[in-house]
Amino acid sequence: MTSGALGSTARWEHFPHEADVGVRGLGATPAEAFEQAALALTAIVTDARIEPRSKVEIDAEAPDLEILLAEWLNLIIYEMAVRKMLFSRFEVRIAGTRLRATAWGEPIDVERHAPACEPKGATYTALKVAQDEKGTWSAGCVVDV
Amino acid sequence: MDPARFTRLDETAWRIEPEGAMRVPAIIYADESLIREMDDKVYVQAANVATLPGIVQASYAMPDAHWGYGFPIGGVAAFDPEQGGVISAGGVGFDISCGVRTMLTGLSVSDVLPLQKQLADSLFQQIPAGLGSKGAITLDAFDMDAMLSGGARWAIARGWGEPRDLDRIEEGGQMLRAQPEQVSDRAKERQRKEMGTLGSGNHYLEVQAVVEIFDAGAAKVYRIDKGDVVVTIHCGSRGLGH
Repeated sequence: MTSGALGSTARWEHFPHEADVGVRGLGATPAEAFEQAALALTAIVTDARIEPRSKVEIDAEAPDLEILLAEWLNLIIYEMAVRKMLFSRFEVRIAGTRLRATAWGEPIDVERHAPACEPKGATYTALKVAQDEKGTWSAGCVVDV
Repeated sequence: MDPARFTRLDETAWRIEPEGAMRVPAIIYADESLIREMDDKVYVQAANVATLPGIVQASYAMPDAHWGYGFPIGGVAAFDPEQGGVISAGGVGFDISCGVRTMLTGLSVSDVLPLQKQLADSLFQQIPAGLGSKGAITLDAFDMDAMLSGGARWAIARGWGEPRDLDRIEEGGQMLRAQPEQVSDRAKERQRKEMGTLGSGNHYLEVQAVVEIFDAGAAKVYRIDKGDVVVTIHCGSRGLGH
């Protein structure tokens, strides 16, 4: 499954894991790759339209970019679980290994969103944040569902 | 997996001989067809577990083993604290107290069949399940810690079970010396919204009929007979453990 070209390189994809699912975001910068990885995370739950009606601020800090990615995805999962919300738009700023982000979304509507499953947590399995030879950043890991 | 990679011990036991950093062998229990179908990553993960400090005797994997987090799911290992043994979160599992439990109903298939649809509707209405569901139980910070310390005993004291249930639960339903203060506020907040729900993901409740008895002795001990109706649930924390 692949979707959503915003810029030339921005997109996300799922990659297979026996019982769970891998998410990967690609973009011109780590921040853009993190935004796309978050969209891949949301796409595990639903492919229905999610209205960006309200916003949530998310801050994270970690020893390196890879652990920051796991932190970031886990914080989104936390906000989804506690607020019973789904998100469809993310704006990420990364300075060093500190992240500040805004997520826009709406409360889960079981009928309209028909949520397929709930992510439990981002893991360190296949956790990778790296830049390829063309300069594209990718950020991904396996999500426990 | 290629069975040739193992030393075959008997019909259903396969050993990975220690190599590299492995401190002990790894042993997988399965028949040959299961071994052939098993993911290669089970081999890698079972071997990886064998490298952990303080591991006793062997790293084991059960017939249902599949790719997990660090440990294979279905992996078993003992670690000796005197030998620098570790505690592995991946080995314990992230879903605290997650498991499958089967309950006897005292009903037979002929009792239930006439009411099958009404029963299914009623269970759907009364048991919150799935993403976005809310339970009828809301715990404040004090009650959350009491629940984490008290376990099933706490639930029974509130009337959500019977004392004799405890005889059928590991550790009598309560692990002693729990330290709920070590659990993060975020983890507790995720649990708070899930209390009293079946949970989502692969959690389920099934009303099942016993169609065949394979082990008459065990069935007798559990008082299970052919034609009985049992209820099996797969439940446990999801958010809390992460």
